[in-house]
Order: sequence, then C-alpha cells, then structure tokens
Amino acid sequence: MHGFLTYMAVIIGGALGGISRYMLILFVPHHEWLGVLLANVSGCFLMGWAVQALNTRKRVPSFVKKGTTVGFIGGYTTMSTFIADFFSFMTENWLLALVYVFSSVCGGILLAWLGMVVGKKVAVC
Amino acid sequence: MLTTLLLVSIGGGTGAFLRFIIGEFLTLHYKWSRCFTVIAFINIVGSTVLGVAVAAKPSSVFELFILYLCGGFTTFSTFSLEALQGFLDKEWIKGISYIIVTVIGSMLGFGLGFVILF
Repeated sequence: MHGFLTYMAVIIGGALGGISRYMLILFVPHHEWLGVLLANVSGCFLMGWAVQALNTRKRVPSFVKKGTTVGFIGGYTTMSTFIADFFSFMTENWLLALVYVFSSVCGGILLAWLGMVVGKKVAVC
Repeated sequence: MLTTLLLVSIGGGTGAFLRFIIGEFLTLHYKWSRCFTVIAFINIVGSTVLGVAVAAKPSSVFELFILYLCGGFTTFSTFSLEALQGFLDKEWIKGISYIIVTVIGSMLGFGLGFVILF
C-alpha cells in the first residue's frame, strides 16, 4: 500500500497532465486530433526517459516517481480520446484513420525507446 | 476559462487516481494481473465508458469533464512502454499481440459502448 502523499501526488500529477494536454490541444487550432497525437508521442518520450532517469534512482522519493509517471505522464497521454478521434476520422476517411492509428502506435513506441536512450545518459540525481 | 480548467484538472486527477488504485487492487488480488494486462484492461474499460458518454450526447460541460476523466484514466505512454519492453525482451509475439489486443479491444469497447445507447 502507498501513503497519503503518493495518492496526492498521483491526483495532482493527473490534474497537471490533463491541463497540459488541454493546453496543447488549444495551441493546435482546428486539429484536435493533432494535439492528441502530439501529447501521446511526447508523453511516450517522457515516460521512456522517466523510467530510466527517475525510477532507477534510490534517492528520489516514491511519491515523486509515482506522481510523475502514473500521475502526470499517464494523465497527459490518453487512449480513450485517441480511440474517439479514430472513430471521427473513420466517418470521414478510413485511410486517414488507419494512418492516424499507425503513426500514434509506431511513433509512441519509437519515442519511448528514444526517451529510454536519452534517460540513460541524462540522469537526474 | 477558469471553469474549464477546473473541470479538466478534476477530471484528469480523478482519472489518474482511479487508474492508480484499480491497478494496485488488481495486482494485489489477482495473480494473472501483471502491468501488461492491467493497463490493457484499464484502456479498454476507459474507452468503453467514453463511447457510452459520447453516445449519450451530454451537455458541453459534462462532455468536457468525462472526456478528461476517461482521458486521464486511460493511458498511452504506459501502453507504449509495455509494448517496447516486450520488443526489447525479444518477445515479439507478446508485444504485437499486446498492441493488437489493446487497440482493437479499445475500438470495440468504444463502438460497443456507443451502440448500446441506441
């Protein structure tokens, strides 16, 4: 079980993640899906970085790790909105919908890998 | 603007919190539930709930809240990381099937949730 601090960190992290995604979508006018795509792939990079540079550190307290990975990055990226966007694409152009899914999944995995590579070199103490 | 940010942050915070405690509960009580299956389960359930919510044609305030609640509950980054981990361990079939189960499962869930209300 986790302490109160960890739960609070996850809630605050999730709230900040949601706001960050909302802001990103706001900055990409008329293309809500592009904002979601950018949030998802950039979040994957952050997650790859965090598991290497943050979670391996013993000195970083557990609530910071959980708040960052489970809370912030987990809340910043989304599967459900991505699926909803896929369906609204599907009604217009199914080819575009497939491209959207492939670029999100492949881009996400590629950037998670890149984040891990960067995280091994740039470590936070 | 303030109301919007409040709704987005409450939705995102609650979603992440629910994901955290449900994940904790499943890994504690069920042997089958590794991070792999837990995240797949959460993503499929969250997408189904959003499908139902979208079909219900809610007011714009409630829609924003539920969008960010499900958005915070489901996650793309942990999903990608789990898939990548499978590939790095050279467990190609596991990684590929994880991606297919999550993405197709979430699509089916969303579609089913959407259709249920009609």
